[in-house]
Amino acid sequence: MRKVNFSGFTKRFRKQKGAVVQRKKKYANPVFEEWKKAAVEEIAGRKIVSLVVGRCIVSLVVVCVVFASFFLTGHYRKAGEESISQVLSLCNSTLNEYGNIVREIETYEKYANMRLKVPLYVQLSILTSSSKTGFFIDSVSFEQTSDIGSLRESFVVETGKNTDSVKIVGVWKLKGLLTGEADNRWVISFKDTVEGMFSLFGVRSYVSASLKGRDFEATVIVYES
Amino acid sequence: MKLPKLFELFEQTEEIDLWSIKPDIYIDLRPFPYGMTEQAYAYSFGEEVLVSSREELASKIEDRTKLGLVLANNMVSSKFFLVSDQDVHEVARSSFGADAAVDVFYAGDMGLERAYVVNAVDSASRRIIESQLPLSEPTVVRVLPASFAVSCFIRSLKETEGTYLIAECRPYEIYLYSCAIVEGTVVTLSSDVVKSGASDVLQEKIVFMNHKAVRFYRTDSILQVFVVADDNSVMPADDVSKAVSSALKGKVKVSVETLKEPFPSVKGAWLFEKS
Repeated sequence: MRKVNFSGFTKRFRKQKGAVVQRKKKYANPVFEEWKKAAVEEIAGRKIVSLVVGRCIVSLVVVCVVFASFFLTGHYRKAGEESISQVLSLCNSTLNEYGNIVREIETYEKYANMRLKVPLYVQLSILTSSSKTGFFIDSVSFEQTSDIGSLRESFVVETGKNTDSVKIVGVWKLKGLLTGEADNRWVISFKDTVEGMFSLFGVRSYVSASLKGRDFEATVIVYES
Repeated sequence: MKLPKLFELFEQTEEIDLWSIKPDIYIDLRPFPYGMTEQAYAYSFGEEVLVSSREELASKIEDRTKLGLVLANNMVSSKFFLVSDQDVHEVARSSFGADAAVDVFYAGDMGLERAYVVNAVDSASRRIIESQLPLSEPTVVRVLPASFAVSCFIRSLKETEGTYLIAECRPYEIYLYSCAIVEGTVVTLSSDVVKSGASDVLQEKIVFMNHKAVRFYRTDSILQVFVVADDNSVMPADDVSKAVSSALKGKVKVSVETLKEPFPSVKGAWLFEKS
């Protein structure tokens, strides 16, 4: 009969596949279900509470993560939109600026292409230097047209000439602000100075100016007779 | 989901590990002399071991007190199984029946076989145990055979090797346990009790237990004997030692040691619990 020394088994111990792995179990513990019921219920209750609390915490964390995601997404979206709006606004302003520059360049080009007896810059110099008190220009425009609109009658009355019988070089329209208080004498002076200056260059002019406080408007028709 | 349903679901899916619950008290359900009372037991809440009558014990524990029981080896069967191809649970079921509480502990591999400790309490023993307990609906979380508890106590004091015999001398009887250590686990090979005519019967039983260990379990013969006795023992420790030596005489040299301790089982159970 084979004899086995029990104490020697420690060295030869090996775990086989399928052998029951007992981690927490310390020994065989035969307890009837009814005996352990109260203790099991107690520990099960504790486990359930910890399970429920754990699930609640996990759910809370998930909800927090979802809300945080929504909040952060919204925040970043808003920030992105604002950033894009700023960029678009900047682009628009730049484009507008370029558009203005282009329009001005077109205007300048148009002015440069005008073949006038008195160059345009000379005409502008005459206009700006004709006020004794000086003024700030709000707007100034020049147009090569023979249509003088509502000024036709006053032109005829004051110059004694029909618009058809003269060659209208162009029409200047000025708006501005005088540097000091003035009255109709400024208007008369301005008209005389402009007409005198233009006559020096061999052209004539008709000036229609109005004054309201320090604001003035003037239309200067440059023509050749 | 409602909590009761959750609880049922939890019970179905989760197995509660009894080893995660520590007993509040260990009671040795073998009668101990206490005045004129017949039913008195030794017990301990983990520190000092006390003896009280069943009625006094009832006042010290509540329904919710988690009990650890140390039972005589004729109340809880502790067997050592070597299994090769079969399922140990099936073997245990067929050995003890469906109405018994059975638990299996894997001790280790022995060659091609797997070694298990199978402890069981049958329904008849259950009725006796419940009648001994001072509670109508006790909460029991641990059931240990006395042989295991006493072995744990001895192992905390002495080094054990191979197969050893324990003679636990108590006021009314002498318990005999032949045990061995398999992979650090105490296994009970056989147990017996001597109540009267101790000197003659004792030798016969020891011879038989030694024979059983060698023939049936194929282990070494008994090399160590521990006599655990007290002043109130049914037979003096020296006489028990002599009887043991005489029974095991003529084979190999057997060492016999005597330990003086009245409550080795309860102390051993707590030592095991705290280990």
